Amino acid sequence: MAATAGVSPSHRRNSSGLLFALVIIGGGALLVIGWAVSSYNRIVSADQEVRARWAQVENAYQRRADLVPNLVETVKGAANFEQKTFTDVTEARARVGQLSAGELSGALENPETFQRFQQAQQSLGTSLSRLLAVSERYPDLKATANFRELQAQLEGTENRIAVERMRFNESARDFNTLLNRFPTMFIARAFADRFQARPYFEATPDAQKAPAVRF
Amino acid sequence: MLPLALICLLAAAPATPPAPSRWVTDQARVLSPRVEEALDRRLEGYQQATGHQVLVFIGQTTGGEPIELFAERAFREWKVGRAGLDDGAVLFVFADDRALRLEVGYGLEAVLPDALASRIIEERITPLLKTGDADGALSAGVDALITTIGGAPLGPASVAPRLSTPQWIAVGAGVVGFLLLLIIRPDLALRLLTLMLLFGRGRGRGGVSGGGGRSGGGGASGRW
Repeated sequence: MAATAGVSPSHRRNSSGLLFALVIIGGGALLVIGWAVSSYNRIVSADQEVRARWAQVENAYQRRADLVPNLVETVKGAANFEQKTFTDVTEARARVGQLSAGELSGALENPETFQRFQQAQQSLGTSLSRLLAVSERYPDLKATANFRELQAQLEGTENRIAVERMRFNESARDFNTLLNRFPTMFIARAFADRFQARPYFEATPDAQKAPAVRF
Repeated sequence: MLPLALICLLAAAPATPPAPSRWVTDQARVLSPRVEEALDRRLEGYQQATGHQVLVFIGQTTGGEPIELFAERAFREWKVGRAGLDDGAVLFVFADDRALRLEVGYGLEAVLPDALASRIIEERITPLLKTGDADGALSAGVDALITTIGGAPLGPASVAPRLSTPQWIAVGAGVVGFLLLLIIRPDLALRLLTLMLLFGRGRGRGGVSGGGGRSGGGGASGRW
C-alpha cells in the first residue's frame, strides 16, 4: 500500500515531464517548419520578381530590335549612305534574333546563354550608335521628319533598356543576397536545383562615352 | 547602427529632392513669379479636370549624374501620377547643366510616345531656352504637353471615402483609449500625440504625390 502510494506521484511527475518535453519539441518543430515555409516563400517571391524584371529587359531590347528594319530602310534611302554601317546593324540584328524564345526564358539559369544575349545586344547597340554618329554627316537625312522620329525612338529605347537593366540588377541582387544570407541559405541549399544565383548585367564601358567613328 | 544604415543609403543613390508640394517648382529661379504661378495654377486645374498629373521641376544641376537617371529616380520616389494608372509626366530642367528631360509614366506612353516627347522638347522648348526666354519656353512646353496629352474630363468628383461600421468602432475605441490615457498618464498621451503628428506629416509629404510613380524610362531628353 505504501509502495503504490509512493509510485503514483512519481509516475504522475514522469508523465507530466514527458508531456512538457513533447510540447517543447512539438512547438519547436512547428516554429522550424513555419520558418522554413516562410523562408521558402520569400525566396520564391524574390525569384518571381527577378523573372518579371527579366521579361521587362527582354521587352525593352525587343523594342529596339523592332526599330531596326525601319531605321535601316530610312537610312538606305539617303543618297550614298555608307554601306558598311547599315549592313553591320542588320547583321547584329540578325544575331540578336538567333536567340530563341526558349533559350531566352532559360537564360537566368544558364550564365552562358545570358552572356551570349548580353554580347549580341551589346554589338547591336554599338552598331546602332555608330549608325547614328555616321548619320551626322548627312544633313539631308537628319532633316527628314522620319529619321528624327526614329532617332528619338531609338534614344528613348536605349534609356528604357538602361532603366530595365538597372532594375533587373537590383532584383537579382536582392535574390542573390537572400540565397546567401544566414539562415535562409539552408533553405536555398535544400532546393539548389531550383534556386541558383542569378547573373547580372555588367556596365558596358563604352556605353558611357560617345561612339568613336572611324572614317 | 542607424548612422551606418543611413550612410549606406546615401552612398547607394545621390539625394533626390523631396517631393514637390506644388505643380511647378523653380529652385533655380529662372521663371518670373507671375509665370510660375500661372503655370502652377494651370497644371493644378488640368489635374483636377483630367486626373493626369503634369509637373515642372527646375533645378540648378544634377551634380554630374546623367539627367535620365535622376529623372527616373525622382519620378519613382515622388510617386507621380495616380496609383495603378501612373498617368503622370514631369518636365525636368537643370539650368546650370543646360539639360532637360521629359519623363513619362507608363500610363501616358500611349498618348505621349518618345518621338512626340522629343518633338515637344526640340521644337517648342529648347529654341526659346536658347534665346534665354525661360518663361516663354516653359509656357510653350506646358501648353504643348496639355494639348498632346489631352484627356477626357473626369466624371463627378469622387465622394470622400466613408467609414464602415467596424472602422467607426475602431476610431471610437482609439479616441476613448486616448482620453483614458490623457487622464491616467497625461505626459505619455502628449508624447503619443506628438509622435502621431510627426508620423502623419511624414506620410502626407508633398501635396501633389499621387501614388503612381512607375515609368519605364519613357520620354526624351534634350540640351540647349
